[in-house]
Amino acid sequence: MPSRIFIHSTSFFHILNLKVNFTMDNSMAPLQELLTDMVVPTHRSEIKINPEHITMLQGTKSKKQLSRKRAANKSSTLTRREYARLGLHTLPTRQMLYEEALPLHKLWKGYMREHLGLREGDTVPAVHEPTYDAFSRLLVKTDLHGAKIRVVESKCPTLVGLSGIVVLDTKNMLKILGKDNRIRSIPKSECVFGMRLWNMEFTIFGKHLALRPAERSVKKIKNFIEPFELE
Amino acid sequence: MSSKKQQNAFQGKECFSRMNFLFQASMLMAGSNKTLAAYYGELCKNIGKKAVLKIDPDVKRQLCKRCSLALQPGITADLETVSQGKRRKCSKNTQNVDENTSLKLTCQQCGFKRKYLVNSEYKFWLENKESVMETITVEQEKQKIIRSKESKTLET
Ligand SMILES: [Zn+2]
Repeated sequence: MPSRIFIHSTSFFHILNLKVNFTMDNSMAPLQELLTDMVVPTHRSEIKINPEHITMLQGTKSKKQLSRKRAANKSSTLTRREYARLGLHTLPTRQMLYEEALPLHKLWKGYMREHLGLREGDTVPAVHEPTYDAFSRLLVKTDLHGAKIRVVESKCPTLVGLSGIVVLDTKNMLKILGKDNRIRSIPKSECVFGMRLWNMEFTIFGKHLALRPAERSVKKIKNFIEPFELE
Repeated sequence: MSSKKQQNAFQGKECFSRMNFLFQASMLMAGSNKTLAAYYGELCKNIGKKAVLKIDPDVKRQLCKRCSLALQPGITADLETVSQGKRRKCSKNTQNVDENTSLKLTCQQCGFKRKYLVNSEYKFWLENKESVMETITVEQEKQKIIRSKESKTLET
């Protein structure tokens, strides 16, 4: 009989057919008793049990561990499921009024004035002018939330002629709030959009807008944006 | 030349103006449509992340850290004062504000709580005068003046 017992738990408990239901702290005492009983009485004084070598087969996690995990989950970030549960993915088609979006459009006008560095009455640089390139690059980078937009051309004939204020701008879609208080989704890549700002009229190919809205302002646009596409 | 130099000095101007616009839009929509407000707020933060621009703490605190909703006390958020310390907790005069008091801002949508100290001695680094490196004035008027000056110099 060995004087020191190091238990590597599983095999030991399987042999004895023990079921341990105690929590860690309570279970140590009876276990020690059991082990000391098994050793020859003359050697009992030399017993050393290393508690780290004992793992319990059954029993739940201690309460402390669970509570810590929960606290960590609750802080800061939202999971997509929680996000959806809060109703942040939903944008019902008939809930917003056109009048509600008007202040947003007004705000957007002010933003455009600052962004493009234009004032009322200014003219857009023409194709042959040297500032055209920089200007068109700037125009593609603009934020579209709040813009009054019209679909000029599209592969899908039903989309042509739709107009309204842009409410949501995602990678491949624009959500437009029309004057009939309906929100419509329009795919960007197949459409050509017209946009009015004071006396100026912009035409933007949706193909160039099909980027994530956060990336659009950062990404470098390498290709020169031609005013007309060559077929 | 000078205008080019100026533009280079203020890097990320477009991103800043876009973030500014989105933040204001988020504040505007906070009362009426929470989906849009949260979307604009998140986009504002994301642009800041992408372009590696820092948002001023005062502005950042007005967007919920968790769901990016614009927090307007009374409309989308609850604001209350909490006094820390065990003795102060039970005291009756809770209206007293001292260095142990903190503001607790609770988002009404996701219930995220944040505490801010109300201590006049504690300051942000940004509130110090030393933190200001240089000031750049971006006004349409000033740019126009510069442009007109340039054209004049070219003429002469
Ligand atoms: Zn929140």
